[in-house]
Parts: sequence; C-alpha cells; structure tokens
Amino acid sequence: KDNTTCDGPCGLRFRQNSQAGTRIVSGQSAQLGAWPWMVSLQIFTSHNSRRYHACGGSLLNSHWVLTAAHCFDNKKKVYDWRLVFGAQEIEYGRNKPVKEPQQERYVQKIVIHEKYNVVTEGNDIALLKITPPVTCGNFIGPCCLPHFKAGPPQIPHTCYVTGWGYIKEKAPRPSPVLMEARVDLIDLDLCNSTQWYNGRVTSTNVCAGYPEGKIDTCQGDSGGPLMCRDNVDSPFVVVGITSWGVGCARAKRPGVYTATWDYLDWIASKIGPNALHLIQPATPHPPTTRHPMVSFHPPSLRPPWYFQHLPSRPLYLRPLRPLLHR
Amino acid sequence: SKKKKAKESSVGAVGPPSSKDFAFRLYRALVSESPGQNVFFSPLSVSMSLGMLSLGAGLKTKTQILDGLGLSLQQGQEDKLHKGFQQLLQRFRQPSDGLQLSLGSALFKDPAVHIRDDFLSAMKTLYMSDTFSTNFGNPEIAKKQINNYVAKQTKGKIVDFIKDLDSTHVMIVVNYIFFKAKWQTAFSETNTHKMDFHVTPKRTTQVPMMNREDGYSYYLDQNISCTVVGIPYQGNAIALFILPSEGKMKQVEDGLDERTLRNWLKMFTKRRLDLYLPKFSIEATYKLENVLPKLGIQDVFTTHADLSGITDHTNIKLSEMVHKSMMEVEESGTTAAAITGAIFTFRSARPSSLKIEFTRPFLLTLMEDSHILFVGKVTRP
Repeated sequence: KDNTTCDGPCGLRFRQNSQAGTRIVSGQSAQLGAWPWMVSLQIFTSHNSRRYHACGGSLLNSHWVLTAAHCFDNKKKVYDWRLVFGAQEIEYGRNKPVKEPQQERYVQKIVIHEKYNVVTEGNDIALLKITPPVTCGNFIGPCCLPHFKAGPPQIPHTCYVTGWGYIKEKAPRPSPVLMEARVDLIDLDLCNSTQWYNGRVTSTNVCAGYPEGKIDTCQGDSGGPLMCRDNVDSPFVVVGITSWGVGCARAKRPGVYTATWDYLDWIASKIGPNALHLIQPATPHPPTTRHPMVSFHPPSLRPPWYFQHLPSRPLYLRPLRPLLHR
Repeated sequence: SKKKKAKESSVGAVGPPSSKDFAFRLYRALVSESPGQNVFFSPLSVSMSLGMLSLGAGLKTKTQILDGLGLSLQQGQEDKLHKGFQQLLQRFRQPSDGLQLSLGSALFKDPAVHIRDDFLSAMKTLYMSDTFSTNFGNPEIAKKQINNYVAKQTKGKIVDFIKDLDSTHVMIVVNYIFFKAKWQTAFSETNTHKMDFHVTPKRTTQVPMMNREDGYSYYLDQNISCTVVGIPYQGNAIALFILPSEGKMKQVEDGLDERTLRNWLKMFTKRRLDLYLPKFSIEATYKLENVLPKLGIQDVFTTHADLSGITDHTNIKLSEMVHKSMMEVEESGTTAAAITGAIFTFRSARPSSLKIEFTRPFLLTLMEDSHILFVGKVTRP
C-alpha cells in the first residue's frame, strides 16, 4: 500500500516485541518499526554540524510533529533543531547524514501553545512543522490521537511510553537505542495527594507509572508519547506527552504527561480539522480503510526564507522530492 | 507589535497612567543621597501621596507635582490618575491569602489649620486617607501619635516611624508601605545556610542564604550587564532580582528605566537555575522634602506652595513628607518547596542548571501587574 503521504491509517506498527516490556528507566529496547511515529528532536550546533538528541515527539502526518513546549525553552529558533524519523538507534553528537531507513528534516515552524507559561508551567504542548515533508513507509508512520468522544484517559489502562531518554536518573547522556516500557495510568487525585505531587499536577495532565516507581520516563523522553490501547486489536492512541517528574522512577513520583485529549481543538486549529480527523480512530474500533479525505501539499523546491540567509554548510538531508507540476 | 502595544495600554488603563520613569529618577536621587547604603522605597506609594497632594494644590504647584510624576496637566489624565489609585487601593484592601500589604498616607496638621471639606472628602474617597490634628508644639506627643497610627495601620510591622520631629511643623504627610507575601513555590528551610556575602570585593559578611534549584524566569541583559531572575508570588506580584555583572553596579543603576523592566518581563525565558538568594528584610525611611525637589517637585515644600485647595490659610507649606517602606524576603510559599528536597524537572535532555548566587550587592524590584511596588538596592542584606 502506498503510504508515502502519511495519510494512511494511524497507529500502524510494523514490528513489535512479543513480550510486554518488564524492565526508558527499566524499559526494554524497542524493535525497529515498533513505534513508527516516534521522532527524535535533536539540537543542531552549527560550529561542528553535530546533532544532539534532546526530546521526543510523535509524527501526526507528513507535515507535523507533536511534542512538549518546554523543549524549546532555551532553543526557540527553527535552525537550532533537526528531526530524525524512523530511528531505532541514534548517535548522540552525530555529524554525518542519517542512514536508511532514517530520514532527517528541518523544522519550518515551532508552534508553542499560546498559554504555555513560564510561571504556571501548564499547557506543555507544541507542534513542529516539518520541512520538507517526511515520507512515510515501513518504519515511519503517523500516530493516532484520541477521538473527541474519548474523554480523558480511562483508568485502569495499560499503556506504553517510549523514548531515547536517560535509562537512570543521573545518566550522562540519552540512550542510544529506543526504549519502551509498560506503565499504568494513575488516578489524578492520588497523583496530586500530599504524599505524591501535592497539588502540582493540573487537570490537563495525566500521571502514569507505578506507585513504587522503578519504571518511568526520564530526561530526554520529554515530548514523546504516552500511548494506550483499548484491546489488543485496537491501535495505540497517544493520550499523553511526556512533560515532567521529580527525579525519575521514584516511588510516588510518577511521570506527568500533558493530556492530548484536552488539546484536540488546539491541535485542529493548527494542523487543520481534516488532518486531525485522519488520525482519530473511531471508537471503539479503528478504521480499516483509508479515509477518503486527503490533504497533501507538494513541498516547495526553494528552501524556506529562514534558511536562505544561513552560511552554507553541508546539509545531510535527503534530496527534495520533485515538485509536482500543476 | 501592534498587538503588544494594545495589550500594554490596556494593562495601563487599569491603574493610573504609568509615570515616565518617576521610579528610577527617584531611585537615582536616593542613591546619590546615601552612597554605598541599602536603598528601598515604593514608587507606587510615593506617587499615591503626591497624587493626593495634587488634589489640593493650586495650578503651579500642581503642575510641578504632575510634571515630576511624568504626567502632563490634561483634564483626562489627571482624573485617570486619581481613579487609578482609587481602584488600586480598593484592590489592595481586599484580604488576600498569603499576602500582607499595608499601604497608605495620612495628613497630620496643626489644629489651627482648617482643612477644606471638599479636600477632606476627596482624600477619603479617592485615597482612603485620614487627617489628624496634631499639636506639633509638643513634638514628643505628636511623634507618638503619628507612630501609633502607622503601627496600627501596619499591624505592628512598622513601629518607630518617625524618629525626630520639629516643633515648628504645621503640616506633614506620612506615607508607609509594608509587604510580605508567599512565593508561588516555597524555598525549603532546610536548604538555607550561612554564606559569605561580598559587601565589597574585599569585605564579606555572613548571611542566611536560601537555595532552590528550579525553573525560573531568567534573562541575561547584555546591554546593561546584568542577570535578572523573576520569582512569582502567589497572586499577580513578581519580584525581579537583578545581579549586576562584577563591577557593573553603576552601569546598571544608570541604565535602569521602566521600559527596561517591561522589556525584561517580555524577554524572560524559563530556565533551570540553581539559585542562591539571601533571606533578609529591608526597610528604609526617607524625608522626601529633601529629595523630591531634585525631581522638580519643590514649591510644595517652600513658601511658594499653593495649597489653596487644601486650606484657606495662605503661606502654608508642607513641612515634611516621610516615606517608609519595608519588605521581608524569606522561604515561605504557597506550594511546599517539595516534597523532601526533591526538585521538579522537565524531562528534556538539557544542559544542567545554571548556578546564580546573589552573594554581592544587587538590585530588586517588585511589580504587581504594571505597577512598581518597590525598587531597592541591597548592599548588605
């Protein structure tokens, strides 16, 4: 099936571990193609052309990545960033082009939630416009987002987190391989109780992990997905975006995630309602056929204006696809 | 940028029109009065007192006062000034959880001086101020009367408001402000330790130093060479702690204006800092009749004063205008510092915290919406 425009069914996985992960912190390494929407957000340093993984993200379609706003606190410029798709292994500080099936892209636009606030720390959500658009395939594909009718994530629920973040609290650098771990959703009232986060969690957060800790996301996992599915036949749906915690994997200090369901309208307002609709599986069963509505904009051959003024340096991107003639 | 402008002016419309750098012109005048000392005052509170006086001042005196505040004498603007102060005072009088804010002005005058009824009622409704008859002929009793009044208004926080009083006084204005609030996030008391504070590069003193590693509003101003850290209080107030680069205190003091402050608030980024900040309380008393003339507000303190709106007596002047402000900086906050010394962290793989230590003289301002509640310089905490 030709899925290169990324408008095919969301949440399709190409390979997966047969066993549920038991051991991010205490996770297990994911198979290549197990989480095709997983994106590595890398900080680009121009003096040595190296890229350093900083955050995760979820691919929505060929144009957009969903991630956390705080990833851009000190790096707000599009040319500070590179996106790597289709990766299982990443090399921290790499200065060579990525290898197949990985694809590397620029960021055209960073859209931070208007109410993401240096004071309140809420609304930790952002969208990245990819340029040129990414090509989907066996190892790259769109994630699912909750349906409008889905409501906040239901408890109990078995979910997964993925990322290249630290595999222990004070690790020197991110994990070279993509890790996955099974986590439970945790009731918000419990998560906010005095012995836990004591009121710090907001109503648009989701807590996930375990009361005793041990398995959790950590530094470098921010922006990546918290994914749940209703049953083994349903696709995974990204219900949360990794945001914060106290330490990693500590008892009563689970990971705190931005709940995507609360921001569906915001996402629709940025990527367009049709594009959102394409990645919202109908509840309870996922769509089995391709949605008829396809919005695909051919990429421009000219690099965006903000790259035209940069000093020339080698760009390790795949060549642009030919412009469609109209 | 049009949008931003609209936003700014709508903020300004809530309070009085923002006075053109009155705060920092007054700051520089006070610094030159007391070089090397702590400086601490409330631009908002002083402008309120002046606004109140302008109600009863005749044209030339009034123009001087408004000019000093950076306002032009236009009917609309003058009304807006008084209304803005009235709204602010009403808002500040509302009890607010975790916030102790007492501010006000009062007029003490010789019993022989008759105050016009319309001034009294305007003072009362717009500025919630009181007027008292005081026998300055007995300075000890007059002093006690004034100090008791201020102590009562500030719930015992400001005592000994006036230290010496002249028996020749006829009319004085007192102006006080006490502020203490809870941080949005507390500092942990167990993290507070004695540390060296470098009063000068060669002289140090030990002060209790609070410490919290957390996300803060941060800006490095390379223009005037300083680091700015913003720490929010519960509610709308935010304290800006300004650490001049080594040896750049004078440059920062000369470069400060209200536009710079607003720019900082706009340019703030959230950044993880390992912050060290002294625990201290700061207070200062100023006889503004000696300082305000440097800002062009002089007639009101001399025989040229035209206070015809206050009293029918001619040749009456304001003998003294005493301003005292006090603020306490300590650990307590609304949200517990955390959870047994643990720190809340975002989960991006980022460079570790930047360490910022306020261990040499620094400046601070406290803003509430667009109003500058305090400006201060801490040379020794």
